[in-house]
Amino acid sequence: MKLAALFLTTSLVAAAQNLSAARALTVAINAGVEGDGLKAAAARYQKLTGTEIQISEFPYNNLYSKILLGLSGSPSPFDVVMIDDPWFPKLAEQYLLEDLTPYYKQKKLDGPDSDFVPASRALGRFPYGKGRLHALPFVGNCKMFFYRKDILKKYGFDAPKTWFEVVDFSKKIMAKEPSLYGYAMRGEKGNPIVVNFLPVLWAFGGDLLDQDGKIVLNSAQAIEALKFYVGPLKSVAPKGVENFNADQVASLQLQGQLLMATNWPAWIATFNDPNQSKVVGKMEFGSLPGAQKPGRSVIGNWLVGVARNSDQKARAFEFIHWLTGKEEQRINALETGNPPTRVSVYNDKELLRKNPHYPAQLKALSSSKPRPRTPRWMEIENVLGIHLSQALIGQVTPEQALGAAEVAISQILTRGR
Amino acid sequence: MLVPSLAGLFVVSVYPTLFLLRSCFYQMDLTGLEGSFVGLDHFRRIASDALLWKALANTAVITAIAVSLELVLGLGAALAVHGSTGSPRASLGKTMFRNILIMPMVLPPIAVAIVWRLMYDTNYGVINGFLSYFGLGPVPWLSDPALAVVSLILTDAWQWTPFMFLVLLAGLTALPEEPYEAAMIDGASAWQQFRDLTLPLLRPVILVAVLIRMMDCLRLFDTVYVLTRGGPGNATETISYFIYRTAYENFDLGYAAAVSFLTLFLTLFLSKLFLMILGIKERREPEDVRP
Repeated sequence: MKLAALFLTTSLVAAAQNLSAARALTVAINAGVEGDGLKAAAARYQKLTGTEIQISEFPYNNLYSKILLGLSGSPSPFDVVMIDDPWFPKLAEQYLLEDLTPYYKQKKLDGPDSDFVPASRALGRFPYGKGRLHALPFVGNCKMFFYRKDILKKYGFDAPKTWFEVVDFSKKIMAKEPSLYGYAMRGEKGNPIVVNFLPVLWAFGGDLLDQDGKIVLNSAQAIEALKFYVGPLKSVAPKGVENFNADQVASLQLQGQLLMATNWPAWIATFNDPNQSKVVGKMEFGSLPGAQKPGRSVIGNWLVGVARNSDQKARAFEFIHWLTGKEEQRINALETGNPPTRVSVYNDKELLRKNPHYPAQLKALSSSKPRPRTPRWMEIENVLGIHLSQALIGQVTPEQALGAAEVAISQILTRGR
Repeated sequence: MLVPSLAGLFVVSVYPTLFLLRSCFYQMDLTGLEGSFVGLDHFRRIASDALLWKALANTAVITAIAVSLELVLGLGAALAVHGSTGSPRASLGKTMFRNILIMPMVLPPIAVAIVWRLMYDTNYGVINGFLSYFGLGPVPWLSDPALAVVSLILTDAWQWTPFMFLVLLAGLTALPEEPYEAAMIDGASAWQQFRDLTLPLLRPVILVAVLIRMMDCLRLFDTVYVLTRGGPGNATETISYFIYRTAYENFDLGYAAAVSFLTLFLTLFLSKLFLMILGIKERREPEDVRP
């Protein structure tokens, strides 16, 4: 009897939850400045349309497994999910995200308009750039070069055009200013060191996977790049870079102890805030240096997609369509400082006044390159990050590190799932 | 009454273990738990996985050094507190000392690790700040492969020495007084009393305390997660962190299950070994102690 009562109560609760779920849209976001942007937007949308939006917030490290698990469920607990772009190929390959083209067709449109930065728009298709459309770009992050223009100018230098100049300028300035470091890498194993090393690898002419998804990591160019990274470049870096993440790099630079670094544009607002920064007005934010090839930034956009197993896909699409629209992108950039994904927003007069670096940011974003668009990326990044870190601490040579990484990555690529 | 508890046990313990066993032979990820049968592939992979063996070696080194260190420090503190009987002021001091010592143990490991991570920071950490007064450093506590292991062990010892202390103090308090009175009459020195009475009498308590700490340390995760994430390279990756990385960063659930099973067996084997030693000593003890 008691059991029956218990059963009844639980099913009533479940039914009640289902009822409320039919009204509210549930959105999974990351805890951080990008997620905060979406949260604020959701409140505006609710006011505008009356659509109730429920926010599920997760720390970055847990978000991917949460949405992977959630999207596989039926019905999915989330209607809309925020996706870091390297996660996207797996979600799209397994068709866990709704194909958005039919919804555009209903609006008599072909797809996302051409105001989106092409490099950002291409991320939402699987296969990359031309396949099915599963997501729209929400935050237009890409790595930028953060440097002290005042000190470089003092010694007669412009922004470094190559990585060799980064080392050269650093050495000359460090000789005169003993309290300064030249360049700090994000050396922590895993994602940080991989994303930090990729632009150097590309500039030297190396790459990870070719266009057919075959591994080409262990090349003469890549070995040269890694030798440069753990040799000359590390020689101008502060002690302890082997476990630096973005926050350690930024705090050194905010304290005025670091000349140059690569970091996400989300930090720019902090650099301009006199309460947190000793270098207000002394910084410049530009594109990445090159080497044998021109410098290219790593793109790291946040995408938004609709769960294929959601029971209110049409309303979910309306929300992300509005969210990535011109006006909303402009408001979001003004209020949170999140990088937009639309060309017109980068050219907005009010935003340009507040963000003089916008033209440079748009240039970096437009010429950026994504991490390999393979569903196995997370595993590849994981193991590559360990081997790069071993090379950075000098446990193995660059040749050994890249050799071992190539073997491990080709095992990942051949292993079935 | 037996049926519901058995059913509960089945749901929360037996079924998951059986599922784990099944998973060892399947390739699967978070998007579907059916997976595809791969036979003994995962175990073949275990045999040739250098990263896994390094993680096992790291775990063994960290456990051996950390638990020994905690035992020595804990025993020392317990003896000091136990010995300081007498005046009311001494017993007040004893209570305060005990309460202060217990504090690290009741803090959440994640919070402890975050504080230590800040203290270990190469450029802004308080430890290097202190060393710089003596013209030393900066010491790369967490970014040098050998020092990172030391830093992990120090943090673990700071947090868990109090556990050793508490258990050993309880053991000391429960020891019979007669043998000590007899020893004092015979003129035994403090060191002789410690070596010939306290240590043999305390042996079962020591073994149990070490066993509990060892099992805990073999699955060390939170401190690693916060302090080093297993890095630099894989210098501080423990077996638990390896399993986490495999299951929740790579979504390679089948392989993670196989490694978990291996760990389960290793822990069981070590515990069994310890209990065997403990059992033999217990049987011998009465002969040793009786004068």
